[in-house]
Amino acid sequence: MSEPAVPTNGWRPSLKALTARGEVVALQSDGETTTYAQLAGRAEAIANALIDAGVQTGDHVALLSAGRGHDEAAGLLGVILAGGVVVPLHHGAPRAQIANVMRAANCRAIVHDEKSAAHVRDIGAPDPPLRVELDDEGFVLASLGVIADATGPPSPGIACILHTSGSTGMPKAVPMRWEGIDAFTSWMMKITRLEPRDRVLRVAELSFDLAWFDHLAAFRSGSTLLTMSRRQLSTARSIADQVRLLAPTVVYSVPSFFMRLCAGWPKHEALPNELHTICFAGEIFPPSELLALAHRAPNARLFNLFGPTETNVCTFHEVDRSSLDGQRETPIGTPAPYADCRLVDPSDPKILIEGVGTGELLVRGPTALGGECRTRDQVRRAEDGLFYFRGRLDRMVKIRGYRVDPSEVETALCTHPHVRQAAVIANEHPRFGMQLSAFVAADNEAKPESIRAHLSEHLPSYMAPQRLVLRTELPLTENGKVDYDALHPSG
Amino acid sequence: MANEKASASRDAIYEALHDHIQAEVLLRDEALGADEDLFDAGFDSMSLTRILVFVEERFGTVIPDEDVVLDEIETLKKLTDFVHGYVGQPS
Repeated sequence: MSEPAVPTNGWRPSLKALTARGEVVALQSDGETTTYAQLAGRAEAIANALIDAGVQTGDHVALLSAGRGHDEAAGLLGVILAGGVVVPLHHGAPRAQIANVMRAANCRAIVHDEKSAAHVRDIGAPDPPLRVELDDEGFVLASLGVIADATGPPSPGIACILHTSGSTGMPKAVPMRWEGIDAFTSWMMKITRLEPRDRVLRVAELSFDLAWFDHLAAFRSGSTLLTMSRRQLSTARSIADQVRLLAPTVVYSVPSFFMRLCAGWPKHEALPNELHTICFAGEIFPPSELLALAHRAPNARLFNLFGPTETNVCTFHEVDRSSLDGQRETPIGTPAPYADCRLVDPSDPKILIEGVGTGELLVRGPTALGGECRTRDQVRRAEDGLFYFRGRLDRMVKIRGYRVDPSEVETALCTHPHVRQAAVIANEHPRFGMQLSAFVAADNEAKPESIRAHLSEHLPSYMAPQRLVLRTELPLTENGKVDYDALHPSG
Repeated sequence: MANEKASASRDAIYEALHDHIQAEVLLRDEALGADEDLFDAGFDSMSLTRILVFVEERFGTVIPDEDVVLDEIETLKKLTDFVHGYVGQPS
């Protein structure tokens, strides 16, 4: 199958291609089915509502779905068909942060579901000027407002703007280009051998690059996208029930999702036979858990995909089942064909590390932000020629695949009027992975509830520390800096 | 007597869960109703994990992830009964 060559822009979904899939099932969830013809019709109506109200090519349009129904895919396609740049909002983000993100990203409209209507209204007028509200199937319920002012400078070739944790106290905006999404999805379709009969399980939020594979690769290949609600995703058993019901053939998610799936699945029973490809990314898969997953899915090929949001996937490794012993580390492998990956000296990126050695991973290519990205990931090229992840050069950690810079949490804590100093450390819980503990030096009037409430106004829920410890002073090193080694999660 | 003790500790569990969920999971000011749907109130896929960790640290009881059934935890009242089944055994 050959795709038309579109060198500058890259592939993107079109109404014609979606409509042509007709009665094939595009979206499926527990009790609900949407065909490609229906999805195309709903997306077209959303696009028309946006265009009629003044959205122009290149305008930034926010997308928010509290219910994670079929409205989310329809909204995504509607914005794309209208020529807009999608700005997915995180459902768990506080109103103040949503307002900040929308203002910083210059969003001129928001497409949202009925469930988030009250939340969106509370974001505060006059941002954004236009709201398009959908029901949970993706039909337009209401379109309120018009865009009267002149459109801003367009962002040519940008598909979406994702937001990830940064160190400044504000989420970091990461624009993704169509060219990069094209390179990534077409390659992923190859390695997952995606065909129209495939069923792709979508787990991640759209504000996360994993979900862009799920949606765009599924719609590009004409396969079925399977969705689960947040409620269904919240317990190991309900995850297992849904996987049994929906019978996915391809799943791309974080290791903790697969670990919960295995925990909820009946012991000594294999996962559905149809499941032929498992891709994981976002955090390290504990070797014993990866071995357990491999036993549960004897027919599936397993891929470790690697790369920060700023580069999308840049290296990959197909797991060799015979090498799994429950102890050995899984390599992050070799560069994806579109990514030029080099190791450089972190203190001087001009110094290249060739052959066996450890350095900072530098990525060039269509998926890399700005064409070239220093990842701050420390990577070793070993004797076997494969890359191995050796940790971060900064303090960033992964919590259930979500990236969190502890200094962003510290910055948020320090803006509380009674907090003088804050230190946030990450520690590993034996069953649930990484967690944050926050230590604050505060005056006598500070109350934990007030600090929690303050955090909830500034950070999304996944960044909220599990523990908050108030002290009069934090331990300091001889240099007068916070002594992180002297802080322990037990308090 | 056993009933009294069990009900007292159920109350303690209820109170601890209420305060933890309100202030540290849902991060909101309003009190949480006993029969309010926690998912409608804003639970996400990570909220339950936070609660299991909290129960483990507060009461010293490990509740396996795979034992949790959605129908048994979707309100504060049900969640309290569920946790009580592990923690609040009168001795």
